[in-house]
Amino acid sequence: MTQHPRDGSVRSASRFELWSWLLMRITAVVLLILVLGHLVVMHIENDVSKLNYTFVAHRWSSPWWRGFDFLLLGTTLLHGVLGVRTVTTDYVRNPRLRVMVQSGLVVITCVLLVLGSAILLIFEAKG
Amino acid sequence: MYRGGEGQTAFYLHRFTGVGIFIFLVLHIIDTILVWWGPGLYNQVLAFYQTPAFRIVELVLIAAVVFHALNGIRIILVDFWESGTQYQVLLLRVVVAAFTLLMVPTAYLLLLPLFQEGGP
Repeated sequence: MTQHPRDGSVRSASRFELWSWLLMRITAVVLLILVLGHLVVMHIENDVSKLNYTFVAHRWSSPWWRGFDFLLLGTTLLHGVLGVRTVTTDYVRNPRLRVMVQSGLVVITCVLLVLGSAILLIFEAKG
Repeated sequence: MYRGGEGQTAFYLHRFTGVGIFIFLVLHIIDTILVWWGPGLYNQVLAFYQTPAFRIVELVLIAAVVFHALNGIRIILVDFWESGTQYQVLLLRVVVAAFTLLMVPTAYLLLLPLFQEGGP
């Protein structure tokens, strides 16, 4: 449990907030490169109107693009879940509701990470 | 009432765009997973993304990402650069300028096909 002595210092047995703060910034810097790359490929080199199954299948014929997308998936989810956790901590004041919301958040993130990674691993073009 | 000026606006915008992008991210990951079920379903969903109306949404999304990224850089500078706090308002003005410089041509490029005969 975090302690807030009157001198403004903070003591906590858990370093969760510290790591959350740090990982936000680390993932942010990584994302600057990954998201920029993703947007350039999807919206500038190509165009949304060109995106379809064939386009994705072609991209994922290269393991490098699968790897890139995997990094993108993991890093955006981590950055996002940390961010939304911080925001919900600030605005969902009722403890029980906050636990429920944040648990749901973690579950959704894990499900998306697992399903997204699975498809990157086992997708094979058909049709 | 906290009177934080421009910096306070940036704070709220950063959170707003962040949550907005996260919601989009959830939907986007789900729609990409749909490739597993073959071209039919996936292309159908993409067709929705390619409608003219959605181009506006696309533009708003890109604007959100661009602002969130630029202001994020500002936050990192404030956190890790000794003079960061001192210059935070100036940095915000740089963010707004960079945002405008990037988004005006982007908006033009994205919206232009909507007005051309062939359509997007």
